[in-house]
Amino acid sequence: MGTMFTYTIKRLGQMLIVVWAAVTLMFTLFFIIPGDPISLKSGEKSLPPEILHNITVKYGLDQPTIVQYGRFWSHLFHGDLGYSYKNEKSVNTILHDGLATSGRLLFWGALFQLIIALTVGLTSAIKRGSIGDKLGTVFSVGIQGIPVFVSGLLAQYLFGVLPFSMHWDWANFYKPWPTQWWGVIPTEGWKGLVLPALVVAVVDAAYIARMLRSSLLEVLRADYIRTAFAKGLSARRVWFHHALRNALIPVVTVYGTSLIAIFGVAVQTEKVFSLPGMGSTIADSALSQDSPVVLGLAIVVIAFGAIVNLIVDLSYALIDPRIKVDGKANH
Amino acid sequence: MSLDPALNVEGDLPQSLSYWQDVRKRFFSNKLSIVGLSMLSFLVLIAIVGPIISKWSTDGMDSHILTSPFTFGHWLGTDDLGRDIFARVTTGIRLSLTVAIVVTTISVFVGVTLGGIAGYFGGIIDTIISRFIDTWQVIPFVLIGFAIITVFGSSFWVIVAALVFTGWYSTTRLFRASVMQVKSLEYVEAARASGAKTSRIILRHIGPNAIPPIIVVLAFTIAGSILSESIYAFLGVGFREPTPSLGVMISSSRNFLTDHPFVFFIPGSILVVLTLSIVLIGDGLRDALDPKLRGLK
Repeated sequence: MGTMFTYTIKRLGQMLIVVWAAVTLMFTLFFIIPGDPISLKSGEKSLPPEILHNITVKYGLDQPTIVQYGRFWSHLFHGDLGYSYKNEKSVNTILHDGLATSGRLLFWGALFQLIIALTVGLTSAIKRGSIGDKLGTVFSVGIQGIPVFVSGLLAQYLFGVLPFSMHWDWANFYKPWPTQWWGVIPTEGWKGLVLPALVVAVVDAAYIARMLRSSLLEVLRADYIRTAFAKGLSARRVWFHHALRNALIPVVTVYGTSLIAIFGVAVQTEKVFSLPGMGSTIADSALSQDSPVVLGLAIVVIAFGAIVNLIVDLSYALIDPRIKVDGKANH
Repeated sequence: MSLDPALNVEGDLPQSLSYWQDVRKRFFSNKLSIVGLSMLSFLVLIAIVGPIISKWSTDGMDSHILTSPFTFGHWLGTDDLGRDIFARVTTGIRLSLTVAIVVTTISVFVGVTLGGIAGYFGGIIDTIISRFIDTWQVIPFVLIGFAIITVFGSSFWVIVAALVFTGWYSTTRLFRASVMQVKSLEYVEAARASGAKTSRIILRHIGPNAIPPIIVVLAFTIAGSILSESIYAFLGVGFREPTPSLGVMISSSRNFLTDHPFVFFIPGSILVVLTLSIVLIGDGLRDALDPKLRGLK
């Protein structure tokens, strides 16, 4: 257990360095953007120089970049993400609102994804060669060519336009969801959650299912599976206790990668379904060059990705006892 | 399609194939890669001849707006501004392929250089490059693109640069792994033992054997770049109206989904078929180039 502990500490340290570097990179990228609070507030009007000076001082833009960078971290450690250039709203509030929507979308999306992937992967491995299995293969290859925004629009058309002829109950979603972001089960407006969450889920579900299938088939050829059957264990016990457990190892990695990539999926889904989540907020703020908002929300996304990465690595070491925890263990 | 000499009825002698002959043979015996190749050839063909044979220009407007396909002389109808969809879509395929090929060429060049250096020399250089990739990986690709495109505008070369910046690390990582694998093989050791220079080992011994994975990555990078370019366009940070990019067309079609779905379905399905055909070819190439699968049906 001692080695596991040192391994965890080591990975945690690496994660912190990566997050610091990524945030610094984002800071550099977004603070060379010529966007400034003045042009965002005044538009075409010309403001008196005193007001211009006050705005610049207010956002600390009169300081050299290195001082701004220092202040940025100091504010971050105090839990203050800064203020929007556009409407003076605190980035914390914007983040809170965005998380309420995105958190729910991604929670259900990831859950649906896991359920679909496990069901499809298991059935197609058990009944390999059946029509369902072949359809699964075709589907999983086909989905690779469909970007999320196209499948989102397609879903809107299929479920919103086609069957109910202009009745957009399922596709014209956004009725504000309850604002406490921790309430992942929306009591009202849940209809609007089903389709976007499915769109998020389907992207990688097919890929994970294929992965699970081939990994299961490989595991089933192993000697210990034959031994288990020979001992007279029930098929169910062999499948779930012996085979699935070992087959899950490569799947965990793929699931982790897909969780990290889920932000790109969320941006498109939120745009297609007009959901006011983190993704669409970042996209809109980047377009209007509202750097503090982009940076503030990006930090959360980056930290999320890094944490998922860490969990995947650690669970990898936990699930598979063959992996030696000695620094060379990752990958 | 067995290569077992006993079952070979075509000639008296057992067939002897070189590696590349065998690759070609196996690629063309794979149904899915044939499907992919035919779909891609068809799209490339209409991308080449389409804009030439169409009598409409990509941004000329007609008073007949949102017409159905095959009416008023518009083969695929018109969009909300009365622009010919056939002309726009075929030009869109040209644009997608051009961007994708340019991006892929640069990405593979960067990947081969950086990945090769990291993989061959190892040590501190490898650590620096690998940690840089780790960092780059946790930043969602959309954000990097946003940053670059909002600073430098959305011209062709800026979009190409943004796509390279989001895609360079996967080619680098892959080529690094591939070089590391080949480097540890015995014939490389033998070459070094017989006094070959580093440049000779890299160019003559490691290079050719690391090529097969590059070909596969080439296909997937092209498909990925087409997707990313359309995603940027859809989100408003890539090409913009009136550029005839498939992503731009899909984005503008959203408002007409209820009454004129073909405005969405035509560019949408072409984008899907284009990417899918390249993915299928990539899958086929991966199987055909894998020497472990050689001689298997």
